[in-house]
Amino acid sequence: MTTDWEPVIGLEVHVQLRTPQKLFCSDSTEFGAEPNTHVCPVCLGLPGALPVVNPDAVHLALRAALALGCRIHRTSIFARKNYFYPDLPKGYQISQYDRPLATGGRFELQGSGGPLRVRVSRIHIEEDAGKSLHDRFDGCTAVDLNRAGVPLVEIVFEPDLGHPREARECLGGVKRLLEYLEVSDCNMEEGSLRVDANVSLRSCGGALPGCKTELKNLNSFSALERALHLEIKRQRELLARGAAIVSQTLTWDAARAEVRPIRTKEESQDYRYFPEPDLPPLELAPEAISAARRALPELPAEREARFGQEYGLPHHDAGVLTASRALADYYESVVLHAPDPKTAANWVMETVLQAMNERLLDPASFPIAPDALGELLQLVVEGRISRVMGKEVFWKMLDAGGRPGDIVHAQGLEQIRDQGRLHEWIAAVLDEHPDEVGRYRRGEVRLLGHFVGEVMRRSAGRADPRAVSDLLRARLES
Amino acid sequence: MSVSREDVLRVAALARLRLTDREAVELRDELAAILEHVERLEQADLADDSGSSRVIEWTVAWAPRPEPDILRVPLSEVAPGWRDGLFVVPRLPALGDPDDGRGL
Amino acid sequence: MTWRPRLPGIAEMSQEVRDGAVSPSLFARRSVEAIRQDDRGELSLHAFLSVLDDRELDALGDGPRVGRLAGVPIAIKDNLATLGLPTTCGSRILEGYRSGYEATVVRRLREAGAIIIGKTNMDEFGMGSSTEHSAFGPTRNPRDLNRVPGGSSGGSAAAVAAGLVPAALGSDTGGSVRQPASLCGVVGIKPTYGRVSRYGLVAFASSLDQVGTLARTVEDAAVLLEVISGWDPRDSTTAEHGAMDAVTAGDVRGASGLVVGVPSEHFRDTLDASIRDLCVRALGRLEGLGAEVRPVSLPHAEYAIPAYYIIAPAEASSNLARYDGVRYGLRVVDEPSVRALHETTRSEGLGAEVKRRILLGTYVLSAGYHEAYYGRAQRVRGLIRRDFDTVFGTGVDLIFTPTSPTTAFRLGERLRDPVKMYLSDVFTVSANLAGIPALSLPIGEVGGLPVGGQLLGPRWSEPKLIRAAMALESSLGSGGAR
Repeated sequence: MTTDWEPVIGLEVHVQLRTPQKLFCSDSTEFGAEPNTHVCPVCLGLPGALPVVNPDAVHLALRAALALGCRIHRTSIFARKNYFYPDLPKGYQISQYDRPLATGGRFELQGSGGPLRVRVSRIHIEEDAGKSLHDRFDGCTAVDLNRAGVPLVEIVFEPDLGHPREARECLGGVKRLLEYLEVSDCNMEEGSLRVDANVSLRSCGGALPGCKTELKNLNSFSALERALHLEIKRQRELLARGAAIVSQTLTWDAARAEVRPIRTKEESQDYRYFPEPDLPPLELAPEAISAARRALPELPAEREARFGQEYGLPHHDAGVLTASRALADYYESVVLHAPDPKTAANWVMETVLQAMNERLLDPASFPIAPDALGELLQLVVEGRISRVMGKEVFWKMLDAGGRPGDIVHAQGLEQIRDQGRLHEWIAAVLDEHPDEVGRYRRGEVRLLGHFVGEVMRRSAGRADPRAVSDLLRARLES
Repeated sequence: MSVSREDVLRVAALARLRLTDREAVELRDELAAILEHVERLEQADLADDSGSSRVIEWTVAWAPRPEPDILRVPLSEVAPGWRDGLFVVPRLPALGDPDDGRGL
Repeated sequence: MTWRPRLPGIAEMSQEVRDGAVSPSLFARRSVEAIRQDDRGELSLHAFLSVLDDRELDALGDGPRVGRLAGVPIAIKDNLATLGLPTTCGSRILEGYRSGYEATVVRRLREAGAIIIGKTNMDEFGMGSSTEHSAFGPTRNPRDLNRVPGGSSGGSAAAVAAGLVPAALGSDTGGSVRQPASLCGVVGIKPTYGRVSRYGLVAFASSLDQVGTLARTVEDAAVLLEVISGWDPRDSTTAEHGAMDAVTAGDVRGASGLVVGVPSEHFRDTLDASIRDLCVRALGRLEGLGAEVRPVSLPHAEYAIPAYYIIAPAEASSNLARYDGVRYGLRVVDEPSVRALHETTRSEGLGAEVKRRILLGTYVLSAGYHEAYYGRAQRVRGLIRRDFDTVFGTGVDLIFTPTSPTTAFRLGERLRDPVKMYLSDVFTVSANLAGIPALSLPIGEVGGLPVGGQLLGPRWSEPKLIRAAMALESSLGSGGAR
């Protein structure tokens, strides 16, 4: 049998909404507090307590749904998903079931064979459970309910992905989108972005995929990609042997770098959903929906395309500069003051990002104001200071602040083009290196760089290298 | 619809109730009697049902939310198992262990 | 034996306190003393599960002398979260449980000056019609100690009927305020769904539950309702316009000009003849007061009990999942696994009737049965609501029915037959399914046992219901005896 199988991959993404308060009560959603301190009768599930919906959470979920091109339902209904677990305080999770907030969206990304459109099946709002700590005490599990009731959206994608790399791209794109929208922090370490994947194989061109398996506990981008690779390989081998794929849930074990099945009990599948009687249907006025649509910022994919068209940036540059909304905002502010967009792009991608990485700074609070950086780039492009000197000024500005013009002036860093001074330095250098002068004249023209460097050194970097080079060449070849 | 002992045990497991054999048999009979009574709903003519099962109207959708209600009785006093600020229960397998029973 | 000491009403009591004629804690002390005296009797009522102790009474001291309920002792059903007293819901699983917060209705009573003197007995989590399903023993009917007071708010009804308190709060999911009011010979009001906050009411069936009031007179029941009603930001199912104006300020229109509908479905041949006679007499009085009595039809009435016994257990099975032994409640030790902890806690902590309803509710929601039972019941519920809309849409102001098909039955009589027990609610569940207000008041006695008549109205029509009931009450005399 040489049937060729192609993978069919779908993602389910859980995203924590960036609200200061929980979904159904006003407790804080802050991460990392002392256990069981951000709790109240509602999120503890005390007898008699009732949920009240947080409008901020609904608004953020609406933004996400609009940005993913979904159809927003004017009426959606909260439903109870019933199951027992010690960190699920009420014995049910308030979620949405047959009447979700939104359905039928799409998300576009660069797939292996060109642009790929991934359909969004649905987006719904739900509350998070608490946290079970299995290693805290010997012989028992500890439960912290600070996280119980934190607002989430679940985004369910149709199985339109054909490769683990595309799954990773898709998740990355969604993360960038939701960060742009300020819907979520999308921090995988803190659990504000979680992903499950389902995968099946179908014969190439075949319409019907086989049984699918679900992958859980994919706690990083690389876990997603690696687990999918392993699972596809496992399914391929089974099919090659003529064995059947069994529908099951598997977990990614990062320590052992393997996927393995989780035993599921049949009954645990029966969630007995029914409409949450403690909450009215969620009604969204058409005006509220259109206002939210108007308030959407330019989405990252649109912005990336615009950076290409408007600034003439290569695809790579546009991608790097739109990785986050704050970085793209910073870049566009620099462009307003810079001599040209490409110079601005090069400096932001190299120098600014390097500084951010080294100093753990983020674009929103980067100490060098965009107009100051723009001014610095003007000085460099106009040749008033050298590129090297420009970098030096950049770090001075980062450390001590100040305007580039002032720094250059005060510290005498301006480039020197005065022919008299340049000739003095050149004469001194040629006098010191008679051998090299001879070799140059015998045809070793690459030694020109060496002479330029020496002159620059003598001038403490202030000589205009282009002028130096021109003068040197004229002098040596005369 | 007849109810079997297995039905009763399946539902009891879902509801986390442990039944003795005798209770299971008694409850099967009682459930059967109640279900027989409620099955007269099948005679209701739903042909002109407007489709709405919601009988409640709400008028307040987006009111400001109240502050969290302060707990006047500490959790440590009401929790059956409590240690260092945490609720404690018998050891659960971690996610992914073969016995993890979380709704999957 | 009859427990009917002449007690002052809410208005008189609070006036005396406000005037400074008596100590603000006087009536509370008298109530507590009467409850203790009853407890010492050979056959005690056992209306209360907890009562303020001497220290707590002393702490009341010379409390405030202001408020509409200044110094009025009020009893609270034990499924309302209360600070300072346990909140057990009549269940072993919450034995000794102290709520860390207070129900909105209890807070509102306190703000009006009321003194919460104790928590009343009830069928476990509100599931029952006799108060025999309390884990802490049954309550007896003050009118005949060998009979049940009805339920599930049997403790509140008995406490009011025995004159231990002038008024009490109950909760009504399918008749749990009105049926015990009827069986004990007092007044009970189940308000429009959304008029009174459920925050702090321990949920039985959330879409049906509503806090109600019980008192010896319509006026007192109405005053209490006025105090507790109104929108609550902690309960999304309360209505903005839920607050009730003072309807008790002497509306002279009475029942005059009201059209009272009598549904043929509730007056079939199977109805007890002496109860029918009392209803006919009451309807005659209403006519005498200037009302027009008109036959009406509620064609889906017969489906109310079946729909109720699907929807209520379904919601209950979910509402009671939180009693899992993790955060509060009964403590079981040394269980080998979480599953065992859950199962042991629930199996030991919950009573037979509660388990029965949890199983029933889980069954009707489970895969394969969901649509046939729960889905169908919800649609039938819509039809039942529409029946009322239709009747009220054709000029009918109120509907009159008996409250209960029987008078108080003997202790133990119906314990072995759940279906028969469920049929106690035949006249009352429709109001909960439709979310409309209903009121039960005494309309006479059969064999020395009280009989209640029920008035139902459209949503938010409590003022009209109360007006008609006050007129009928004064025509029939206290207890409906005249």
